[in-house]
Amino acid sequence: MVDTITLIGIYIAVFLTLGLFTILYKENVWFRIAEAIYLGLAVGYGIAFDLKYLRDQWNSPWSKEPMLMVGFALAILVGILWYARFNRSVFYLYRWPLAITVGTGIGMALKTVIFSQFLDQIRPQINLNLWLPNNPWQSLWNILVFLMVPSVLLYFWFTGSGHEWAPMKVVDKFARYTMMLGFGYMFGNAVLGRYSLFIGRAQFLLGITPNPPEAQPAFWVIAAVMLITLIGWDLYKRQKS
Amino acid sequence: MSSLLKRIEIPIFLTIVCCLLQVVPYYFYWKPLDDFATREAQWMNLIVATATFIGLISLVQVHGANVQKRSKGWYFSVVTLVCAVSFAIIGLPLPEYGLGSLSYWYLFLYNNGQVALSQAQFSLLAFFMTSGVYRAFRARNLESGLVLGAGILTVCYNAPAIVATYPFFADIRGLLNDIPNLALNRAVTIGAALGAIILAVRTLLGIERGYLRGGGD
Repeated sequence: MVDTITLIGIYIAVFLTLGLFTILYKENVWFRIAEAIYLGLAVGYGIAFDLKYLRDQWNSPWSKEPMLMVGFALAILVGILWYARFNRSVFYLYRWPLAITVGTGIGMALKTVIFSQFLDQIRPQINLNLWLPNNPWQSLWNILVFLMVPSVLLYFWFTGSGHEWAPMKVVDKFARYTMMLGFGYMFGNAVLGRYSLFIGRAQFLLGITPNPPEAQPAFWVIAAVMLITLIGWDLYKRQKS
Repeated sequence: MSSLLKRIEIPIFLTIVCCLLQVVPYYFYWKPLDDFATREAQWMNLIVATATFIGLISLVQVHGANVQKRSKGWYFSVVTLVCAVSFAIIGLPLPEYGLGSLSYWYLFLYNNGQVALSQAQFSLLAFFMTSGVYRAFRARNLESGLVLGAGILTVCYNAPAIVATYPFFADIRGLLNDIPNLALNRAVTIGAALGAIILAVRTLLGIERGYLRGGGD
């Protein structure tokens, strides 16, 4: 047996889960309550998370040396300038922390993107082994990859009249087939990813181990209340109109 | 003085300096400068974390006005505001007062509220994607037929009962993953990287100023 507070927690989790699921019927008050709570909790969570980060940073490196303490205070002072965006007369101050953030972000991206995303993708493409005497199938797959990557790149690079050129029409078609196969694969995986999440939620509602078994009676009670109120409200409105 | 501070050149200058501070020590290594760049990146994270109340202020502006005007559904705005403020207070990093991310009530709200709602929200997408599948997976021409074929084969692979009965689905899925999916992802990654580099260079040169807009001037 679980204690009362834990039981209340389980009922809240079941209520919020089912509340969100009621949107599948139509927009209703249960969904709006769950949605409002979700929004509120998400904002509150963000604040709690950031403040914890600031405190942890202060505790570990920034309070160790006087210079770092000044740096921390300066960061907070510059950070306060974010709130200038709420006042039109000092809005320009909001651009300073934004510029620091964007500049640092771009700098960090420039030193990593070129290697991790650009060169590290081109290198294996160039090193593809197009002829493996003992493995003709793998050779064929490598040749396909060798052709597919530049065709997809060309599909996006040449726009407008570039596509009218006869060889480009063949490249375009090949690129489209490649993309459709890739998108189908990704879409299939995405759908099943969502389904596995839904199965997880369904297992929670039915109290299947390792979820608390108390969730199952909570599910029946709350689902019944929600169904009765939703259908009852609809019937009431229909009778009234 | 105020007109000088308002000049757009100040944030552009800050952007360029911060960007170069990160890039230069990476290509021309000099330890003191590299250490400073690392510290500056951490410093920037502190500045970003300080912006945390912008969300709450915007929320209070929108939902507070709803409550004040008694707009339609204003009571939902009350729920939102109460939840946001109470969760933020409970999550304040003050463990000496029984608050913070390890406190009982924070974990209670996080596990039974935040986690339950997030999982339910994303699992809801299963239903919408199913209806999307119904519309997208139609073999009207060869291209949509390829999407349909690849999608169905992937779905079959991910169903354990089907793979247990017909193991060749695993091989087909492997081919789909290793050939078209790899090629597509590689091409998209290269394209996106080129776009990111061009955008970064434009911002570095002060040509791209879109992020500095707003405020009416």
